[in-house]
Order: sequence, then structure tokens, then C-alpha cells
Amino acid sequence: MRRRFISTETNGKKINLRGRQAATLVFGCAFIAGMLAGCHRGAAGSSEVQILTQVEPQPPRVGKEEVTVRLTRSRGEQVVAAHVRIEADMDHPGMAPVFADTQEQHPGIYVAQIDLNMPGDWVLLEHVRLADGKQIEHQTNLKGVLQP
Amino acid sequence: MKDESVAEQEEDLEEWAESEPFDLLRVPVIGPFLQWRHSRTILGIPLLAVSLVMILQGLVGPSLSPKNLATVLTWVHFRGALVLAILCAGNLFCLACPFMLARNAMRRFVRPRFNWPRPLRNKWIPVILFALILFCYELFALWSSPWLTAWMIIGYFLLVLVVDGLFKNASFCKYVCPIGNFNFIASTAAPLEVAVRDHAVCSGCTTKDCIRGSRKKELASPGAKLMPPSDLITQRGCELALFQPAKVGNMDCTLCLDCVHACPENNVGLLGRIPAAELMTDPHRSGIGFFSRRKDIAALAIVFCFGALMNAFGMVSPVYVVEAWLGQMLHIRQEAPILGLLFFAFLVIEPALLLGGAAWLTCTWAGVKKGWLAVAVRYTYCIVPLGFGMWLAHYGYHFFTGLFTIVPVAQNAFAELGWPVLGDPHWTLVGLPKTVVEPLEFGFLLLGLGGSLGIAWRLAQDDADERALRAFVPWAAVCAILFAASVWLILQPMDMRATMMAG
Repeated sequence: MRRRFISTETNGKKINLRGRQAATLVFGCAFIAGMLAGCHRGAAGSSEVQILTQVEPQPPRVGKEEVTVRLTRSRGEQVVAAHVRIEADMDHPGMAPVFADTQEQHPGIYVAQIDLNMPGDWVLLEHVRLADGKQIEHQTNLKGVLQP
Repeated sequence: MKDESVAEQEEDLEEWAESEPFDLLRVPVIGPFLQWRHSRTILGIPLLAVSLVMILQGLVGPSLSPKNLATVLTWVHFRGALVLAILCAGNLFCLACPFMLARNAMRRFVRPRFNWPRPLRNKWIPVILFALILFCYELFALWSSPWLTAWMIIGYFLLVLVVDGLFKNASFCKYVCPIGNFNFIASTAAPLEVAVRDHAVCSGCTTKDCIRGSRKKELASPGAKLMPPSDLITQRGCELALFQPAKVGNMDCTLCLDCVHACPENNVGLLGRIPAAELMTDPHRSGIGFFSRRKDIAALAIVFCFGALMNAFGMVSPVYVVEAWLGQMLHIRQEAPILGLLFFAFLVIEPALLLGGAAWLTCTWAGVKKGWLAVAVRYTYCIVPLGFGMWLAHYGYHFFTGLFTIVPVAQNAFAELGWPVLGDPHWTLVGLPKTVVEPLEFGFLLLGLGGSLGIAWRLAQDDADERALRAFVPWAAVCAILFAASVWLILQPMDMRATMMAG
């Protein structure tokens, strides 16, 4: 019975068409799904420059928060003279993002005040432009910003 | 002079009452377009294209929700546009449904063989799916995941194709689709309705094309008798079993306009009416029966109304306090069971207490001679306008405050493709200020309250003429409680967190 189901005849020539088509369809869908899942992006970064972001005070609350971004290379040296811009987005679409430019307070340490204007989950995007013009984007999740 | 002016006013009112209702199909340009049999396909093509773009962006685009077309269009624009369209006109989303376009294309190659099972010919599946979608929205924070949003859209397409690939007529729309059934119940408050223009014309009709479909005479000749009946149809009739002369209201109407195209007398229009007036009476409705005997449709109305409150409650700070308290009380740290309890409380216990209590009072205090369950089912429909007001307030808030976010997201999408034709993304473009949107929200809620009270009063008058006030008061109290809860929710600051228990 099974053999009959997966076989068909075309112009008298018996070929194992349905089974092959079904298998192709299943594996094709699985392959595409796998490819698409693989394309799902995580936080961007750079293998050369490490980015560490801290937010104070903790736990984060609605209002002014101080964001400190430390840029170091893999050998531990500070990354100086970079331009770091912080973008804070709510996790929910349709909300206004908040921007702040940082100041390099110490070598490799960039600080900005950012105004988180509503409670909830936020995402900080650190847009970094290095002295040589290279651009890096890094993402930091800021979960559960509380009421003031 | 005063008597003359009163008489003139009365004459004007009589003339107005006798005048033909507004008919969108008689409006130049719009009317002829909608009467064209391919109008639905044309309207569906852009939505299908946008759906495909959303799926692609959701799967391979930015992972950040506010920067992805899938999440921005689904959770900001689509939901808001859908309810606003119902408020201003009617069930326009079902009219231009992209899923139906895919389904119609599939049915060119696959002919369904089965009739929808008789025990499932009700609204229990859409009720469960509707509640499940609301639950999954909170549990998996669908708003924050373009990837999950894209898969949700893909899943919807697959479900449509499977159901309507197997079952005849519009089985998916009528018995499965949670979005469609949301639209059906909401559009009972819409200002337009597909209806017969002149019932006298229908009384002389013998072909019933509006429900059976129209057939070409040459195909219906004796020589063509061997052909299956479905092959003779050149224009299908209503796939949702709504027979125009006996159709009442918008329930189950997808605005597909098949009846308009099929009627040989051009006797079906898209007529203006008083919104929600169809809920004030309880006639026998074609394809539906009596609302007061349909517990499944009453359950849909309950999930529609109380789900609106739950959906809004899930986005304000107090929900986290309640969840944390419940978690501590029950020693549970997982979110799913706590959220399940909250949904059970909102969608089952609260309606049972409020509506059951009001029904019991109506029976005992006003002396309405019906069982309390029958009264509860009958009066449940009076809260539909309030529920619709809450959906409008909630989705309208996101729609208006995030109205322009589509611009930078689209700019970014093109830029990421290496084709920045729309320029650099202007991320600061957001939407209307809250000072403008908040009065609109309260306006929607007040409209809903007015509609609900009007329906409750009319039903009370019908049930207990002399004791109408006694029958009305319990339901007015239910409306007042729901209205107060809605206003309280609107006044709370928005607080969206993907993980509730973490707070």
C-alpha cells in the first residue's frame, strides 16, 4: 500500500514521484527555515573592540540615567578618541527613541546622561565611530526600567 | 411662528426617515469599483505584498522590534487601522484579506472535498484561538520579536490554506479565524452594512443567486447537466451562509461583496445605519439564528470585551505587582501559570460574577421571566460597544502615537538592502503627541459607554416594560464598572516588559 502511495505513472513510466516530491518539499522547507533562523541577527559588535556598557543607578528608573561605555581592544588597551552615541529604544514598536552623545571622561571611558521617559524594557544601542572611521554598533538590553 | 417651525421640523424628520439610506455602492468611483467583481482581489494584492515583506523583514531584518517592518506594521499600524476602519466604515480588513487571496489562488488547483463538521459549526474555536492569541502575545512578548511575529503570519497563512484546502466554502472565516471573528463582533458597531436595498424585489426572486451563486444560462442548459453543480457557478454566492433577504447586521459578514456581484437585480447595497443598532433587537438572523440563543457568540463577545481590558492591563505597571504577589502566594516562579491564572480571572471569573450577578438581579428584581443564563446571554451583547471603545482607545493610542514610525523603518529597510532611495532613517519621526491622543482615547470610551447603555436600556424596555428601569440598572452598573476600569487603565503609564515575573 505504501509503495503504491509514493509511486505514480507518467506515460507508462513508473517513477517514484510523490515520495520524492514530498521529501523535497519537507527538506526544502526545513532548509529554508534553518537558513532564515540562521539569518536572525543578534547584537552587533566587533571582534577587535570590546564594548562594556553600564547604567547607573541600579535598578534603572524612569528619568536621567548615566550610561558608561568602556571601549577596549583585545589586548586590554583603551580605545581613545572615538565618538559614541547612545540610542535608547523601547522594546515595543511605535515609541520615540532617545539619543545622547557621550563625552570621553577618561581614556576609553565614554559617559552620557540619557533620559528614559517611560517604564518597561529598553534596548540601548551604542553607535561607535572609531578614530580611523570604522563604525561599530552594539546592543545592551535594559530590562524592567521602573517607575521613578 | 413657533408651531410652524415645529411642524416644518417634523416634516423634515419624516422626509429623512422615508429617504433612502446612504449607499456606498452608489458613490461615484468607489461604488463602481467595489461592484467590479475583481475589486476584492485588487484590494488584497497590496496587503498580500505587505504581508510578504513583513514576513521577510521579520525573518531576516533587524532584530530590534521598533526597527523592523514586521513588528511595527503588525503591532502599531495594522491593529489600529483595523479598528479605526471598522469605526468609520466597516469590516474593511476582511474585504481586503490577504489570506483569502492566497486561499483563492490555492483553490484554483485544490478543490476542497469536505463540509465543515457539524459539531464545530459555532464560534468556540475562534473564541479559544482569540484568547490563546492574547495569552501568547503576553507570554512570548510577541510585540518585541520580529521573528516570532513573522512566524505568526506564516502560521496564519498555513492554517488558512490547510482549513480551506480541506473544507468547502469559507469555513476558515466563519468557524476558525480569530481576526475575522474579532472583526465580526466589532463590526456590529460599524456604520455600514451589506443589506438588501428593496425587500419587495427579493420577494419576487426565484434564483436566490445571493446565496447559491449565479450561473450562466448556457452552462445551466440540459447538455451541461452532467457537470458538477460547482462548475456551473460563474459568480459564487455568500460562502458564509448569509441569505440577503433574511440577513441582519454585520455578524459573519466579511464584506466580500459576493452577494452584490451575484444579485441579478443589483438589489444589494452597502448601506448606512445606526452603529450598534443591530444589538438592540434580537431577530432571527440568516446563517446565525437568534443572538440570545447563541452562547458561543456571547462567549465571543465576552472575550472581546474583557480581553480588551486584559490586553491593556498587560501593558501597565500594576500587572507586575499582581503577578509578583500571585507568584509569592502560590510559590510559583514560572510566568505561564501565573499569566494563565490572570487570564482565567479576567476572561472567566470576572465575567461570570459581573454578568451572572446582573442577570440574576434582572430576573429577581425586574421580574423578567427567563432563566438567568438566558438573560445573561441576551444582555451580554450590550457590553460590545464598551469593549470596542477599549480596543479603539488601546490600539488607537499605539496607532496615533506611532503613526510616522513606519517612515524611518521603511527608510532603514531600503538602506539595509543597499538601496537608500528613501534617504537616511529619521528615527525621531514618531507620531501624534499624547496631549492629542489622550482626549481621543476618552472619546472612544465615552462612545462605547453611550452605545452600551443605549442597548441595555432598549433590551430592558423590551423585557420589562413597566419595570424597565429595574432591568436596566444592573446592566448599567456593569457598564459603569467596565468603563471605570477602562478609564483607570488608560490613565496608567505604559510599562511593557517582555518578562513579567522579573519585575
